[in-house]
Amino acid sequence: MSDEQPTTSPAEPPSPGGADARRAEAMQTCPPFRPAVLRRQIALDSAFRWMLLILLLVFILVGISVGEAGSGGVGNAGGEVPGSDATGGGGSGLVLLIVLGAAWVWMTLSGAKAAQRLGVITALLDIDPARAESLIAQTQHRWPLPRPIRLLLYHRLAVLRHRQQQFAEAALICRTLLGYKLGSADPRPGRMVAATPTLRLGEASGSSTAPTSSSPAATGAVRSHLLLMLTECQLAANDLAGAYQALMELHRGRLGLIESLQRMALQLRYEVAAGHDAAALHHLDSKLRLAELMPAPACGALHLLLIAPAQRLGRTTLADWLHHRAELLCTPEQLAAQG
Amino acid sequence: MSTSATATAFAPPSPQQVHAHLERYAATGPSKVATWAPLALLVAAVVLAVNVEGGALAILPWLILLAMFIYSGVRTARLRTLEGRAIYVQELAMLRRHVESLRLAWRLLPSVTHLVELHTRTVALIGHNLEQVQAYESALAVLDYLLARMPADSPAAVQLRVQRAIAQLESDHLLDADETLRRLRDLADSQPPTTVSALWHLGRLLQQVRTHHDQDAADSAANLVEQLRPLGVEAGYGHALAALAQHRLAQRPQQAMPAAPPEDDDEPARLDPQQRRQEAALWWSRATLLLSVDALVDRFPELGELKRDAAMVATTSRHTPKDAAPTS
Repeated sequence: MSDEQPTTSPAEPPSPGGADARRAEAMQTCPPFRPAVLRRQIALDSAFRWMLLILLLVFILVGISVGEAGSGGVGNAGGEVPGSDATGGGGSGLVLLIVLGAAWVWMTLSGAKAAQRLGVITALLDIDPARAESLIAQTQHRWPLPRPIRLLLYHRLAVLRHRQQQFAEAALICRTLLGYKLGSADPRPGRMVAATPTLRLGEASGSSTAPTSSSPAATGAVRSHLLLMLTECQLAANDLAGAYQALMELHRGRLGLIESLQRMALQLRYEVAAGHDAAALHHLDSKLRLAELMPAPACGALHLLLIAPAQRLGRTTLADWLHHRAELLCTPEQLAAQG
Repeated sequence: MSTSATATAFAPPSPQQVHAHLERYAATGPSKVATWAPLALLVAAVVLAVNVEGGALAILPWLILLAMFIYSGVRTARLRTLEGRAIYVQELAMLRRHVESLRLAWRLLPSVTHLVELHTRTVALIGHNLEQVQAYESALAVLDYLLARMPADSPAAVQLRVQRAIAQLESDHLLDADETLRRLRDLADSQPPTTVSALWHLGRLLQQVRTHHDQDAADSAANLVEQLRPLGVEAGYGHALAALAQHRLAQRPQQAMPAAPPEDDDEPARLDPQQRRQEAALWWSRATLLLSVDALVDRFPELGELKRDAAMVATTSRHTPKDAAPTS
């Protein structure tokens, strides 16, 4: 498993003797994602769970059979779990029960710790991506982990790579994870809304609405989020056919409001990139009403995006109107990037 | 919340009703019984498994484990249902269906008293919806309730305090609002501007307009577009208030004199009435580009003054695209 081991980041220059140096040394980066590694980790996790389950079943069956063999009727001393068997098997039965319990507790604690870290990683994705990556690298190699936790961990890695604009790797992780069963593919509306008290509600439609929970339900929401990320990665790589497929997948499921807004923005990007100008401007009024629910930069970006198709179709009044609105909504950096 | 016989009639709850509802359904956190019962049952199951003798009783530990498993499943399903309802309420609020959102949040509150985080979210949603339906006194009751239960310096608390200042301005508690805005003055210089700093600027502008400090409002509007930008289309409210300040200044008799140069570099240039009118028209066109005139006047009735002014009507922009119909 040496190829999966996290590597120490060479990017951080050590400052002699300081806490920064120790922090830099402790920082780890995730190795390039390989689907085979994830498959192996999931297989090992499953093997551990099955082993526990089989041992438990054996324990129960042996207990019942020993009880039946040793009892003449109800109330006989042998008619219970192996722990009380007078033949000496009782001691070993109790030991096995304790071992099974310990293994179960170990697995549960390992999963609980990883779930706890998942929350920290989610919080760090925006403010300290290097630390988030280091935590992902450390947690990935825990064994055993519950399958949803393992998948969510890789989901966070996909989010990280997506934010680092490493679109090829992010797309590969997304595609791989989408190959696994991720709970309900039809999460209830708005499952992606951040689970923090959202006092100014428009903030909820930001791009950082990764599912925050590690519950199985959250893995259902993950599917939609993965598809959204995959679409964006493919648009960034100019893979329009791939983006179309991902958008079709997104249209098959029922999405929450935030996800619907994100899908609409991605679909517009796709339509503009593919030259479907009329489709991009179709029902513009309702599209813009929805865009107004997004944070200002995202709303402004959508206005900027629509200027080109309006111009190509000779609708200069509309193009000017969109431009004036974009000037009020976009940050100076966005406007400068647009030229 | 009082509603009349018809389904569409709606009256927001009074502050007293809000107080009573929040007190009656205060967050209690998870019950101790619910927390410790699974562990106690597990211990009981182990004790039974080790000690009980006899065929019939031997299955009791397994029955206990099965019951725990079912209970855990039911509990998880219920949590998911409540979470789903809270998200639905939030989505309704985002879609500006505030009355429906308020109704559902009000009804949801009794079910989430044992879930502190969800309870806080639901109360925050009630407050937000009350503000949006212009029940500012009731909204103040909710904001005070929330502020009393969170650390004073947390980002959420700072945002709530700005929201409270705006609600106070809307409900004529001008002195209280002034004190809050003064205390949060540091937000004025936030770089880059944030949603909270933008709300602060909107609150200050509203305060200046409500207290007829129109000159101050006009003077501080130099960077208003940048300062309000994080609010998205709702920045239009601020632009409209800036237009109102300039409009009022243009109407004042003492302004009917030629523009004078500023006495020092920091002082903004004094404009003549014609320039004031042009400035007012510019701000009004920006405001109406982002929001409809009806939405503006509905939120701030004093903006009706601009709506009725013929010169302003001429500069009103369309907040929806002129030729958005499909080309086909």
